[in-house]
Amino acid sequence: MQFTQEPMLWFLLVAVSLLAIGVYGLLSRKSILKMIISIEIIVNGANVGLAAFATQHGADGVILAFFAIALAALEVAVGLTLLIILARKYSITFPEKINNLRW
Amino acid sequence: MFLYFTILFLIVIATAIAAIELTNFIWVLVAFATLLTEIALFYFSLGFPLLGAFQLAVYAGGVAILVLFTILTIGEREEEKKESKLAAGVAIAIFITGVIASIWTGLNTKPYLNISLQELGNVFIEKYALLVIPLGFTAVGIIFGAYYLLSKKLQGEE
Repeated sequence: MQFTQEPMLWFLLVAVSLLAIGVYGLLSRKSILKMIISIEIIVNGANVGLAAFATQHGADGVILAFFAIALAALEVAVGLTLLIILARKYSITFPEKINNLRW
Repeated sequence: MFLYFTILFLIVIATAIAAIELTNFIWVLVAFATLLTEIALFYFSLGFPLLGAFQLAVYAGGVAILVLFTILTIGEREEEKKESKLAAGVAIAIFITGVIASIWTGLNTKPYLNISLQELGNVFIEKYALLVIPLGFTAVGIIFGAYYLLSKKLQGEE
């Protein structure tokens, strides 16, 4: 099924909802894994917004969404690597316990 | 069509909230993977099948498996609960501002553009091809950095 004439407002509402849920998760959760997932939800909200604008203004939004997806996947890879190291070497999964760089 | 959109919208919102609120990490992953798949359905429905396929491959495939691997490595630990009125307030403020901005920008919907794959490729080559080079260097640097961190950690364990 393909949308043909739906108001762009609906898709922007999806994007804004994902953004708000992601920000709430990022600020309220203590677990690093939950924070990474919250960041991914925010990025996905931005991508939905880009795709919605692309239906009105041309292909640039889709291409930017491609770049955003690729960079977000890389960011997840590094974030999860750091999480694994922190969890296995220091038994830390909550960010407020990370104080190795504190002076 | 409105019913189809409503169902998709409700599933996306419900799975996003579940991914934040559930405490068992395996169920968090299930909700997160469902969310990513539903967003791919949005892309398909908007007429961007390549973007939907990319979302399915990279997010619902790669990222979900990475998260699963991490959960299996660090264990399904329950997180400490933390009530945060400030976070809820900030999220509600962002939501209200976003809704107002969405109404401001999204009311006048023109007919949808039919963007073909050829047009997508043309725009990419004309405007964004050079961006791939720094992006590639960034990607290699990030992957090498992650590998270096992990290998140093494994050496430390030995």
